[in-house]
Amino acid sequence: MISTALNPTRPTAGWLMSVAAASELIKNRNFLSVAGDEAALRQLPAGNWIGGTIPYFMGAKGGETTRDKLFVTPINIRAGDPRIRFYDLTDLHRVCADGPANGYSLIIIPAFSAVHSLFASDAPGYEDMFVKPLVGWIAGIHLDDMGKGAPAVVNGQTLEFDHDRAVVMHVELPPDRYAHIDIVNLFRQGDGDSIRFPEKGFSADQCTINGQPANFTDYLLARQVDTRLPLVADYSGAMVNVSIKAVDAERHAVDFYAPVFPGIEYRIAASTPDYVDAFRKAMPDSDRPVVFSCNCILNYLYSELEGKQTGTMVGPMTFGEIAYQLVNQTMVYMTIES
Amino acid sequence: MAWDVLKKLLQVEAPWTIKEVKVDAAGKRMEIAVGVEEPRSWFGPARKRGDSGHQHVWRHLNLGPYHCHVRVFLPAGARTVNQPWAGEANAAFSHALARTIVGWLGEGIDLKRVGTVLDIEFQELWKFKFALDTGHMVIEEPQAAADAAGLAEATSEAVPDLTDPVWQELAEGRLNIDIRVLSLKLILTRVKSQLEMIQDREVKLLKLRELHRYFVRNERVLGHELAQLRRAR
Repeated sequence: MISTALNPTRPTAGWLMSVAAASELIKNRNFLSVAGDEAALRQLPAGNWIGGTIPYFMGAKGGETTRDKLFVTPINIRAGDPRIRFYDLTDLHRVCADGPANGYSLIIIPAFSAVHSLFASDAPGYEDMFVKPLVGWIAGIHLDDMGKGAPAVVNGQTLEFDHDRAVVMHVELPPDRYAHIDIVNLFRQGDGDSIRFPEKGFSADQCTINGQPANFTDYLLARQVDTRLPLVADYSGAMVNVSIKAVDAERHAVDFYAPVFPGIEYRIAASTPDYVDAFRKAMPDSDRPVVFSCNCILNYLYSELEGKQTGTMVGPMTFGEIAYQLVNQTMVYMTIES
Repeated sequence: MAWDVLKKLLQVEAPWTIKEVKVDAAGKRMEIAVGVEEPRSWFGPARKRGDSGHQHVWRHLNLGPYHCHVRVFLPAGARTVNQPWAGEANAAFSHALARTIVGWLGEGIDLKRVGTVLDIEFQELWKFKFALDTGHMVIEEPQAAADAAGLAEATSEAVPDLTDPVWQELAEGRLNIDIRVLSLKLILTRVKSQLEMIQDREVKLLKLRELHRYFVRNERVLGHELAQLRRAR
């Protein structure tokens, strides 16, 4: 039996539930997006769902790491049946163009794959990018499994698991509804140096600091910068993070979780005092029901969110968040409005 | 005789000439080799300037149902060929085809439809548009269709017309408005950074059209922002 709390027709970002409960929702022909450990996802029956691997979640009771439960988001506001398909390196650039004229596309991309890199690098230039809503997340794995397993995404209609392609659900909405995607980013640009990079890339050595040529590794090491703080760019008022993955003194290069772009000014983020408290204050109005949300695994780790609640926002804690383009250390959410 | 007609169709003029035509009837593909006609000499055989050894193949405007590809043998010393049937060294399309595509995009025809009409792979078109967007390609001799009448695409009473200077002011950062919608923040930042790199007037207009199209398509979420644009006119 499904609890009445798991009413798949009610607008919600979803619930953390057992494999059995998720299976029942699938058998009842609901359209779903499912996040969970690969072993749990493999127990699900075929149906109208897409999935991605991740064992970290923000549930109704707070942050939770589990390999047994699944986070299920119902796709319950729609006009007609959504379309589910994979995208590979040759056609990922069509993901927005293929989206419905009125609706949104929900995408899950396996971390560390070539499509992950391609999307991170090129998505802002895709046809119809920003014109049609695109939301989603980057699938990951338990940190204990790093080096042993690979993140995967799933087309639930065929039960195909894939490490190299993105899975997408194109959802058409009724004419009187529209999708609204937004982000909650608690990081702001600090008042430190202006940093620019000459080239696009996941790794950088050369940069300019306040207009003067410099090596970014030397800069970070000399100032003992806390690399848990991301670089922050101001996109016309939207704060977009690029998280620092590693500072490689030997290679004299800094690696990022998302690419830096030329023509964009970055600054090291100002430190955030209390993530949980700041998050609660930054939550969107409760009268706008959230139908999808995800947050970053780095926020989960750095802010020690296990067992703590971040307001009413629930969903997978991911290896990257997609609000049109890839963002880092950011909570992404979507509301359906009329 | 047939080649003379083909020369006229392609606008191949001396010193250029058609050297070979290959027709793949089954594949509906035609490849036309174009090179420089060697001048006659009154003093015996002319000193061969010879080809540079470089050749490029560009997809050109279709000839009937046939995809037309022009293979150009560059003469020694030549780097570029400013002819409608040739293109930029790093381009896949001839100048004529590129101008046609840009013109259609400017008329508001989306990339998919352009691909369907011209029978060009979407991926090829997307690469072309990406090169334009990033300033890696310019379209010379912009078409006359860039006049104001040609700028209009989708219209809306709530959205200022594309010819309104408010779009250029917004895209160039001379008009600052309070923006509440994430997608507008992102697309405006993209357009601003692209305009910094783009020199070509036609491509700049294309960017403004993209911004205008975004507003028309998302009018119902942009009430706060559109009110500011109307006040700024």
